[in-house]
Amino acid sequence: MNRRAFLKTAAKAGALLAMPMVLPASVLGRGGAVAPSERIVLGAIGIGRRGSYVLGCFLEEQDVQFVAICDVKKERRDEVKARADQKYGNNECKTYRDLREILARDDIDALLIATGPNWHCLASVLAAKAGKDVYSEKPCTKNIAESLILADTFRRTGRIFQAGTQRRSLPNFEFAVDLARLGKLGKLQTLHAQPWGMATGMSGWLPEEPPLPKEEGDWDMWLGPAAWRPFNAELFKSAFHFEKGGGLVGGGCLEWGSHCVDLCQWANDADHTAAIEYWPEGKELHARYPNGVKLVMRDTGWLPNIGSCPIRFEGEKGWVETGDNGDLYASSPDLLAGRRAKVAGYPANFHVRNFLDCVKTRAQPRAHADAACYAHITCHAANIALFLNRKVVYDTVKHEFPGDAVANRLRSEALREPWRI
Amino acid sequence: MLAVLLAAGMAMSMVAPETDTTKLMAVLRSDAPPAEKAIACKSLAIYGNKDAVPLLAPLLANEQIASWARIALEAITDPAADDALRAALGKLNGKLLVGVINSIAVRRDAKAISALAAKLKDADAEVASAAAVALGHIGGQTVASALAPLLAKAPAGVRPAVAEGCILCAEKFIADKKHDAAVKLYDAVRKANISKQNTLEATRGAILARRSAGAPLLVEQLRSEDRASFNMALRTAREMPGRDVAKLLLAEMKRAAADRQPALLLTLFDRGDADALSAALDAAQAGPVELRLTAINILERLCHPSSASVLLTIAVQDDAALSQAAKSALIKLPGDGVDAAIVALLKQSSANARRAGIELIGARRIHSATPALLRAAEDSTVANASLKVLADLAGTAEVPALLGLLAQAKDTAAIEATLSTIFARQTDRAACAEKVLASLAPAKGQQKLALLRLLRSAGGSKALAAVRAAANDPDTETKETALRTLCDWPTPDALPDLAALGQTAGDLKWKILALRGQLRLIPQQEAAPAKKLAAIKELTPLIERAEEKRLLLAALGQIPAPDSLALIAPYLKTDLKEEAAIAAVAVAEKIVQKHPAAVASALRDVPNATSDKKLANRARQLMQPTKKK
Repeated sequence: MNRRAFLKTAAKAGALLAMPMVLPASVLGRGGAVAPSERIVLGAIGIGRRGSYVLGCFLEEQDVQFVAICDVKKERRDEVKARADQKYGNNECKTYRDLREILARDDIDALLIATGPNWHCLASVLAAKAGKDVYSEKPCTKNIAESLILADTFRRTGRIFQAGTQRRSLPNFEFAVDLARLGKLGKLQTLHAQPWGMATGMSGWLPEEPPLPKEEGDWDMWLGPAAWRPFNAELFKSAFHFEKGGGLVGGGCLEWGSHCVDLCQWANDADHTAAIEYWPEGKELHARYPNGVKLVMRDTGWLPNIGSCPIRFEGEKGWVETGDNGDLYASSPDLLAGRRAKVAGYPANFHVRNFLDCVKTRAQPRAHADAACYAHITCHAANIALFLNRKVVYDTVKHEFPGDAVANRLRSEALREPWRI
Repeated sequence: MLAVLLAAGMAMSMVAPETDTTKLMAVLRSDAPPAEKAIACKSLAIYGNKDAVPLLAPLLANEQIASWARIALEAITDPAADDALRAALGKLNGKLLVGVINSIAVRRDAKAISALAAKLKDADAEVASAAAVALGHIGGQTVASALAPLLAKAPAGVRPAVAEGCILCAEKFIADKKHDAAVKLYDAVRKANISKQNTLEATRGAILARRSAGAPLLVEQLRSEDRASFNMALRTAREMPGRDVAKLLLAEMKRAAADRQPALLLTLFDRGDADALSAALDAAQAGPVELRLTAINILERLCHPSSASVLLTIAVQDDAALSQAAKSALIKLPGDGVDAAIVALLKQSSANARRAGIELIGARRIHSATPALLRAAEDSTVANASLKVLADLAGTAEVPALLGLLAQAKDTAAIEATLSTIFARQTDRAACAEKVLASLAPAKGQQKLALLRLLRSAGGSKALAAVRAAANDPDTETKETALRTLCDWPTPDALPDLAALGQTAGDLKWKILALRGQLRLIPQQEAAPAKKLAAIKELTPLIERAEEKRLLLAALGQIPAPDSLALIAPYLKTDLKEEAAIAAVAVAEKIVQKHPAAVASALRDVPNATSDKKLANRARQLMQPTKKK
């Protein structure tokens, strides 16, 4: 269901069910047609399948003017340009192969970054330094060091960052988080998340194949900050998945953990901290926060038909569980008082709208850089415990694993020349 | 030897790390292909020590492996790695040199300052830029002295990096409590001919480095006509500690143009200032509607019980947007006091207030409000709204009162619906039935008909007996309502009544309704499939119309027996083939383990009968021979 369809449903369901917005439409000049000078000028970097969906959410908004696409693949550049030009009835969408060119444009206010995970952090940081606000798909970073740099950079540059963790803007997840944060579950005890596939490994090389012409597919830019390896067509088709959990410790719980662990962090008021102890337990990964709350990452044991990305929060007085089917389940019906209209299908429209509002007001978006930073740190540290198959302890002030030389080395990874963050 | 997984066609190649550094170093010494050396470097990043450095250092000049070697050299903690990277500064150029400089930056190697400073003059702008940023990461007065003059002198292509280096260096000054040095450097950057973004960053730093003395500069930016400067000030104010900054923001909010006020209020909120609550409470009550809406939204997010009275006042006002926002906030507010204030709305003379109160009672599920809701149910202006909420909140305790209302109501539909919903939720429905039966005797007209229907919702043998008796009532309306209730009865204990009705009724309408009721209830019986099928077969001659045939197929679909499949099969070649296919697959899935042959035979026509591809596939899978484990 898209945002407009949802709003129609919500209106039918009753006034109280409407989604709250940070600011009313009229404040932001989006009550009706928006003058070109008032629009947020948007560009995009790396638009594959996911990016195409999120870009669609942006294009639905009247106060957005999409002007440029950057992608290392010509086919994608042409596709996005055709889509934008058709929407605006012109031929003005510019195409770029090298992101440094789109970053150099002074007229662009904000960027949608939906490259493979290998590029997310570096592209976001470069965009912030170039004065752009950023909506970046997740996982947003490849390791702990990148997570900290991401947060530092957006603080230093004063730019707005929204991680593409759209469940922070969906009513069922928000409601569950509120139950936890407002004490309605009693003192929080345990948070449960399903990161899916908690196995780690190291990325390697695939067999060398003849490269494409640079204009068709720019392998060097596709590799970007990842360590060099020869062109391989199959790899080039992918989204660099082996870098999802970080190049040094690939795989693991970053892909889904950046959503569900992030929601647990939010529920625990841990947007500015991370779990401090992590240990594998059977097929699960357990962790503990500074306030004693336990985090359990597990793949099984969820309520039936709850959908992907389930979470469960347990307190002394009750529990709540929800997932992508949009329904909420709780220990008591009274806990569900005031729940908003169900939205299934985890659309990104609300999250995109929240980002655009914050671009205008400079308010803190739902999935701001600090929140993304610490949610990712928790996932990376969990990955390190999984990779080493033993307990690790993390110092959230010094950002190190005290006395644990091996774990400490897994906090960062050199970027391929000439890239730096 | 490392097991490098090189599988053509695999989008992902993962390798297990080797932990034996002797083996890893042997790979680097050998003529192994670059792929193996690359992975060895990665493992050495985790497990390697100074012994690996001499093997890694030469790889810094190898275009294919250099990035892998630096992964290891950046990670190995021994100073030998610093020595190797520093030594490479004099041997490399171009991108490889930039890579080494970047690694030195990550390691914050202060011994590299002079060598990096020399690179600031490199003809290659990328090298000079990398050096400037690296120096910034290392920080210190020597670095500041090296970088600051270049803000004016560096070539245009290098100047952004110099500005970045200066800002990084200034940040380090702040971290080291050298605020004066930081201010000096930030101010130098602000004066330079650099990008707008760099200037904004330096201005932020200049404000923060001055600490409390930075307030005037913050105010200057907040008052700037330049939107970017105002925006930067908003973000900077979020980072500044202290109540004074909150007061400053409040003062600016009062003097700012209307279009800037919401952003200033949001800044207060994001800072977590205690003043945000009082500011939002003030702003919510009067002023531009945009600011009021922003304030109400903030009150919702702050969730403080003290905002209840302001929000309640707004919630009952005529402005729909403000009222809706206030109600949305009130739903979340914690506290019994908030509940009491909301319930008190039902005593107000304004119908708007009473409606808002009922809406909020329902949304917050205030159980203690049921007496007030029952009183409101007698108020024609809000009765229906109140009954809807009672349907959700009331229990058996409220049933007598609702039955009392029903006895006096002109329009019984809403009360009947409320009671029906309440009954459906109860575990002790017999008690509900008793209460309805007690009201039934004296009831007449619409009330009596409503009570008969409610007996169906309550269920039980006594309720069924009463309905059965009413089916013989001389009053036509009573009799028809009772018969319809019987035909809709939810449990199989009504089956004998329905069978009798089907046989004795003169009116075709009752025969059909009785038939439908039986088709619905037969599968629900606690009986063997054979008995159920026998009952169904007795009805088969009576089934003529498509509507009842559909019900027949639905019933058969719930009876797991090979005979069910036999009865369904003929319909796979009729207009009802889609329904038949669904029924056949439903039965087959339950009996396939015991009767695979019957299933395979019965489902043969299903894939052709249905247009549902998923259903057809389920049928095909069921027809597959069972694999022996």
